[in-house]
Parts: sequence; structure tokens; C-alpha cells
Amino acid sequence: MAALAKRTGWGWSRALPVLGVCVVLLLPHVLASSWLFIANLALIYAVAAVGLNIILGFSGQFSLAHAAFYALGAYTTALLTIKLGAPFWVSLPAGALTATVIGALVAIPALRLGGLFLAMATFAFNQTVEWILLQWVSLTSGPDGLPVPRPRLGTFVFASDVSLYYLALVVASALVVAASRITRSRIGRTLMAVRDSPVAARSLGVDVERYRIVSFVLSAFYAGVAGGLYANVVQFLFPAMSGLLQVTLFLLIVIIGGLGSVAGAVWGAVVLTGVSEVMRSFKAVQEVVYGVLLVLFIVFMPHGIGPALRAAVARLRDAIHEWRLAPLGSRVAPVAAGNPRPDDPADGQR
Amino acid sequence: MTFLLQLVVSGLINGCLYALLAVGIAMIFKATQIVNFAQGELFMLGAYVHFLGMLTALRLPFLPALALSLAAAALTAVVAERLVCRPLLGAPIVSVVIATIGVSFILKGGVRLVWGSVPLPFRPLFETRTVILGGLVVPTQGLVIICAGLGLLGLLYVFFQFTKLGKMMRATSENRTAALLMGINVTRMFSLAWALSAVLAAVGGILIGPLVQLEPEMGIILISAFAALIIGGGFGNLAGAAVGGMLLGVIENLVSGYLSTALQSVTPFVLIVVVLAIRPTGLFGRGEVYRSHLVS
Repeated sequence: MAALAKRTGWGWSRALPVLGVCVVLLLPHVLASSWLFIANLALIYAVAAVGLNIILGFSGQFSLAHAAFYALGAYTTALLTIKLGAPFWVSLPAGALTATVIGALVAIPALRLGGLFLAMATFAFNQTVEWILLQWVSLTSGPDGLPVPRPRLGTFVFASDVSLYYLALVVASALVVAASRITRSRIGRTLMAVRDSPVAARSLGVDVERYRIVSFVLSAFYAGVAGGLYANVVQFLFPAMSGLLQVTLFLLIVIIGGLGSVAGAVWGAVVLTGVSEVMRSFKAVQEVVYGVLLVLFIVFMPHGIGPALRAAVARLRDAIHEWRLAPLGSRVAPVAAGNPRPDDPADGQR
Repeated sequence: MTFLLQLVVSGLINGCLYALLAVGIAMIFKATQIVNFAQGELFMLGAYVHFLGMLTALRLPFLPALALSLAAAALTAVVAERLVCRPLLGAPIVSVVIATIGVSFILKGGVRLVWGSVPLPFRPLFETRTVILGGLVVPTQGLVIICAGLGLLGLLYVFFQFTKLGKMMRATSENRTAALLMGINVTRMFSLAWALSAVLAAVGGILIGPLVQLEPEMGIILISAFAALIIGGGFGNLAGAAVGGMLLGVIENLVSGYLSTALQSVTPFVLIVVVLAIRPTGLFGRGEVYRSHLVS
């Protein structure tokens, strides 16, 4: 490998991403079907979490309504497919559009609210959406859940989970790349400026309200696409998609990945989806684990696992460095020969 | 007219519960600037520990069971405050809220692990009788709830207004540094605020227990408590919280009586959104208290 790297002039830094892409592309052919389902779900959650991170991490607005937009996108996509027989390239964008428009409508009254009250209002909105999904039985079939047919593209039906994986992969990678471009663009920098000091941003001529709406709309769009993907990939919807447990899962993904990090949200989604699906049939355990993880991360690793790991690695490297620099004599264990500890039972035998 | 009065009186029964929870949340907020999203779970925990732990499993008589379950709820709250919220003093509100959501999930999952998810009925405390008061039908348990709720709120008022400890707590919430300089043990006041509000929540759970089935999702009453707080004018307004709770109970019942029963459960959500959009200072809110919380 090293020889290859030398010959081609490719270091690890360039080889690793290529390797990663190969792994991601070949993944569905290696995974067992239950794990393939989890991989599909991870892609969906990655999209949703990146969207939540735009509003929570980059814009610093505490919205608890993410699951509502996710469920709205999912149900719109599903209903268009069921009632009108729309192909997925119509129903998925339509679902995303619905979530986006409702996101903009929610954003306008939410502009007047900061911090806590925004959390409260979005929390209430989230529960209202769940209530509507439960009550409007003629449309959503309420608590029974809503089965969705497999997505089709012309005459091609996505019959296998592998094909669904590639569908989700294409959409998810496009959106993740777009998000990382957006957050590094003028919009992303302005959002962060507004987050860190609305007053300073305003004094520099930033239209704070407009950017707050932009972040709301963007995050609702991501949630809507994630919901639409869910309808197509999982093919079964239920009102709890807009429930508190779902919001908490999204929050947890973003917190573990790190607020304000697109890549972190993706990693968080991959890890958390695995963890949560393993515990799927044990709701009590799921709740306790979510709760404990939330508390641990908020208290001990508020910037997510990435910076925490990086700090740990840096500390380790420093320690090793110091150890190698230290003179040879001090490397010997502190208990030197000829200075035995009195309580060492091995002494008497020597 | 009788119908209206009947709705109002039944609304006050629920309103007392909302008031107990909302006052608890306001108390914690005043003391520590933390909004406790686990308050609903303390309410649920109180009911579970009392009915299924103390009365059913341990077969204790009523009063010791009551005392032990209130103590259990208070202890849970104090531990949560010490382990989770104390390290986050001064952290952004987002972090603190997420941490208390974490606590709420730990409590909910814990109760589910011990007692399962199936809604559980149990033998009612008093016979489920109704009394007729001036043409109004009120269940006995409802009367107990109203009397106990109003009594507790009155006691709380006396505590904060006239006792030394209550004054120390008020001083702490007014100005933490000055209170510290006056020799008040500020962290003990934090613990006390959490313990007291856990007791209020647990009393609520124990009072409503005989009228409903116990289930781990009971804590969703939290949203109603939030609605009560927002109607009453903010998170630091104890009297407003109590009045807001009563009002919410009555409004909910009027909606269910005159419009539709299904709408009852969505009333608090709608009220939160409407009040925040139209009059974010609440019905009795004072602008200046509020403005400082409006900007994140």
C-alpha cells in the first residue's frame, strides 16, 4: 500500500475518501437485509439531522418542531402516491415543498420569540401536528398507520431494498454536500453571525429576521425531504413520527455529532440509527438510553463526539511525546530495584 | 346556565392539577433559571410510586405511603438537579432544556422498565361517588382535588410570604450574589426549590390517580402546564401560573362542552401558539420581566 502510495503520489488523505466512497457504494451488497434497512434509515436520519443542525447549530434557534416537518413531508409524499398515483420524483419534492411552505408559515410568528418561548411554541406545533395525524382518520388512517406503495420511476419499480439504498444515497449525498456548501457560504456565515450576536449582525446591516426565516425554511425543507424518503423507503407511516421521541432522537443525533457540524450530523445519524434500531422492541430501554446519552453529552461533551475525541487524541499524543522526550532513566517504573515496598507479598519469596 | 357552571367547576378540577405543575415549574425557573421539562414525569412518578409502589406492592396504609412517595419524588428531583442541572448553571438555555428532556426520558423509561407500558387501573382511594352541590354534580375525588390544590397553593403563598425559609428562597431568586453575601446557602435553596416543586407535581399525580389510568405517557400534561404558564404571563410568575392553570382547565372544558371533545386535547397547544403570537406577555405578564427572556 505504501509503495502504491509512493508510485501514484497519493497519500492517505487522498486515498481515504476514495476508499470511503467505495465502501458506501458496495455496502448494500455486503449487508444482511436487516442491516440494509438500518443503513437506509441512517441515510434518511442523516438528511433530517443535517436540517436540524442548520436551525439549531448554525442559526442557534431552538426549534422542537423538526419531527412535525418530517412527518408532514412523509404524509404528503405518501398521500400523493396513494391518492394520485404520483411517481416519486413528483411526490418527494411535493412533500418537501409542503414542509418548506409550512416551515415558512411557522417561522413568521416564531420570529418574535427567542430561546425558551420559541422552544415552547414549536413544541406545541409539533404536538398539534401529531394530534392532527391521529385525528384525521379519513385521510391519514390515524393510529393504524399508513402503508405506502413502493416508489416507481416510469416503468421501473424500486422493488429491492438495494435499489432503495441507492435512491436514498443519491438524495442524501446531494443534500449533505449542498448543506456543507451552504453553511460555508455567505448564508452560513451570516447565520452564525446572527446566532452569536443578533445585535452586532444587525448593526452590520444584516436583515436578521430574513436570515432567521431562511434557516427555518431550509431546515423544514431538509426535514420534508427526509420524511418523503422515509415514506418511499420504509413504506409505512404512523403519527408518532411527529412525536416527542422522534424529536429527541433528532436532537440526540445532532448533539452527539456536534452542534454546527454537517459531517457530525451524518456520523451521529449513522451511529444513533444503529443503536436505536437494535433497541427498537424495548421502548423502555430506548427511552432510558436516549435520556442518559442526552444528559452525558450535554454535561460532559457539549460540542459533540468529534471535538471530544480530537481533544482526547491530542492529550494522548502529548503524553506519548513527553514520554519519548523524557530521559531514559525516568522511564523505568517508579518502584526501583533495591527499594521494595514493604507490603509486597512477593518480597519474602525472592 | 347550570351546564356552563358545571363545565366551569369540572374545569377547575383539571385546572388545579395544571396550577400545581405550573407553579412548580415557575418555582424552579425563579430559583435556577432552568425550565424543567421533566416536571410531567415527576407528576407521573409520584402517581406510580404511590399507587403501585407503596399501596399495592408494599401494602402501606395511605398516609405513610403518601409521605414516602412525596419524599421519593423530592429525592429524584434533588438528585437530578445536583447531577444534571448544577453543572449546567450559566450554560445556554438550549443545553439546559435538552438536559431536562434527557432527565424526563430517563424517568419515563425507568417507570416503563419497572411497571410496563400497559395502562394500569387500581382500586380507588375513596369510593367513586358524586355529590350534588347546588344542582352541580361533582365527583368526590374532584372535590378533594380542588380543596387540596387550593389548600397547597395557599400554604405555598404563606410559606413564601411569611416564613424565613420562604424569604430566603425569594432573596435567592431576586439576586443570587447578594443572597450569598447575606449568608444564604444558595445551592441549598436550589435543591429546596426542586424538592418543593417535585412535591407539588407528585401531589398532582396522586390526586388525579383515582380518576384516570396510570400510564408512562401521563407526563404529557407538561404541555398543559406550559400553556398555563404562558397564559399566566411567564415562567417566573407564581401567582400567574396558578391563575393560568385554573383558566386553562376551564377553557379546555368549555371547548370540550360547547365545541367538541376531540378538540379538548389540542386546546393547550393552540393556546400556547395563539397567546405567544398575539400577546407574548401573557394575560397578566409584566413586559419588563418578559423582555429579558424573549431575546435568546
